[in-house]
Amino acid sequence: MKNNQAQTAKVILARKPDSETAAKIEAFAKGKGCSSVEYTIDGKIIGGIIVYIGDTVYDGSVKSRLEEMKRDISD
Amino acid sequence: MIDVKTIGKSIVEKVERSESHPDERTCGRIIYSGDGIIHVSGLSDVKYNELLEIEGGYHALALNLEEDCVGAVLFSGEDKVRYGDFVYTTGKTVQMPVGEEFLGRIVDPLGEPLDGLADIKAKELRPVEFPAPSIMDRGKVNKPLQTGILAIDSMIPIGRGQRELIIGDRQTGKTAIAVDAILNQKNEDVICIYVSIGQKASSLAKIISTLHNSDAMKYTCVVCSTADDDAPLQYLAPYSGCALAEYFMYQGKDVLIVYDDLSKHAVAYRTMSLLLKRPAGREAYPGDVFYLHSRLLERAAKLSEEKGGGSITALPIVETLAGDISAYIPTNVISITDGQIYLESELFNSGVRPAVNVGLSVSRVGGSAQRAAIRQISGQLRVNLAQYRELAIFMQFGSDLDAETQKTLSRGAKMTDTLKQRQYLNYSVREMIVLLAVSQSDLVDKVPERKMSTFVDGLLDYLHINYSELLESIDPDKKLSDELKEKIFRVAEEYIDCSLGEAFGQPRAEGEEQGSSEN
Repeated sequence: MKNNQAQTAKVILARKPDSETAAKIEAFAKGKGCSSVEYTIDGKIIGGIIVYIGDTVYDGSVKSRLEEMKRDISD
Repeated sequence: MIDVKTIGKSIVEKVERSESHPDERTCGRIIYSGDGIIHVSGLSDVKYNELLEIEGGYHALALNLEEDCVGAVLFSGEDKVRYGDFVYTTGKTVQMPVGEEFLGRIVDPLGEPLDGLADIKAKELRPVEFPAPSIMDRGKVNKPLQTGILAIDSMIPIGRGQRELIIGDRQTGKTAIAVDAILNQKNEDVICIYVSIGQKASSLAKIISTLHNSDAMKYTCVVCSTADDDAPLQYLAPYSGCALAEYFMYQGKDVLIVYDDLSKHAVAYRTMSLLLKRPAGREAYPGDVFYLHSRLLERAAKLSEEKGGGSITALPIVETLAGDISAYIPTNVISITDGQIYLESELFNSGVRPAVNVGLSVSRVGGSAQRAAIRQISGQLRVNLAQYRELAIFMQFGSDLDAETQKTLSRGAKMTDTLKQRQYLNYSVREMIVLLAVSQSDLVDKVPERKMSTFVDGLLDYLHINYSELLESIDPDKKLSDELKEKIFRVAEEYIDCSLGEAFGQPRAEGEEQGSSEN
């Protein structure tokens, strides 16, 4: 199902990125074969970044790290 | 008192040990969930049999890879996962933690303890699906696995590394034979694994307490999925048990694994397959139901000496309906295994326990592994019993019988009685040799009919008390010499002479009295 056509990278951030960060994100997306970047600002992820490119997710959000920690402690 | 500092410390430790998942993962979204089945869109690089992780810490097994979605079965959280939840690939198949720590424990098919004892800290993981040993890695089955059941060890011998099916209707003592075999492995250096697949929790509890009471848990692990577990867990149970068995086999140890029972396993797999909308075949089982069991039972093997010489002996159990062994699953498993022990409810109800039908039961490889002495004296047993059964049918017509026929009949009946054995009463190899030798000799003609069981019990006690050195002098790995045979017969005769008319048929008190006069 992987399509090699130009696709959009969906980026979720907790805050609006500054220009330096935005440039980094765009460079990363371009490296993965994306033609455009779509930003969503969502405070729920607390911090960090989540990038969706096609089926692949790059999850570096504080929220998911905390959730994992919670699961490990309760185990 | 609980110290707040230690709690804090343990939390810090856990956080430090907490492994974060890799940043880059393939994900998909649930587009359907029902009956423990989920359909996921996305997951472009998922592989067959891959473990999937669902938001919230639930797991599923990818089984159907289709053009636009992936069908998977949930291990847990059937009522928790929602439409639209993210599903991630893990790059792993299902793995079972393995190790010595599992002996004496009761675990679920994912290796989690169910006995309420401490966590199991296993150092190793093994994939539950693992290729069977290759042809070159296999050795010859040459060591017996004694079940302690006379009828089986004499006529349907099982070797280490063999797969022997136990088949029969409900309530014919299938599990009893398997449990007896486990109990008999005490001091035999055999690790036992009992896998329960879709069994009633009550009967499972009974088995576990039997194992506990007989001190058999020391060398046994119970992998259980009960009837109320989800089908995927029941489906996984035998493979998990086998992964654990393989861990020991590749260390050069001998393992006995009991799958109780594979008909319920097939039913669990059928449930999953039908829900996944795979085409149904005969009896609505999917097309690969044969492969389901063949790949499991092929993993039971005897390794060659170069590979450590370990073995997995498998005792799969299959339940038949109304004695129909030509149904789909029974025929499949019969053709995969190296023989079967066929139990009959008619025999069971007429008091022949274990209810082994000697005519239909076979062992295809165990004969070469049988102890020399037993092989020597049980050679004629099968033929004699077959002859007896044939005559016994004629006897029903009630015609006058000549002396020779009557003798054959009475001997056959006595032989059948000798093969009756109480549950949990296992004979040692030497005891078996004595019983087989005596019950096939002329001596039994002196024993009154219907008193054979009393005679057998009495004779063994008599031997243990008065002639234990004779019992010790029997070498099971050598042919029985005529001299030794003579000695055994003399003792048996002595016992018959001094107990005739007193122990047999009399209340127990008199038997004891007579026992004291012997000494």
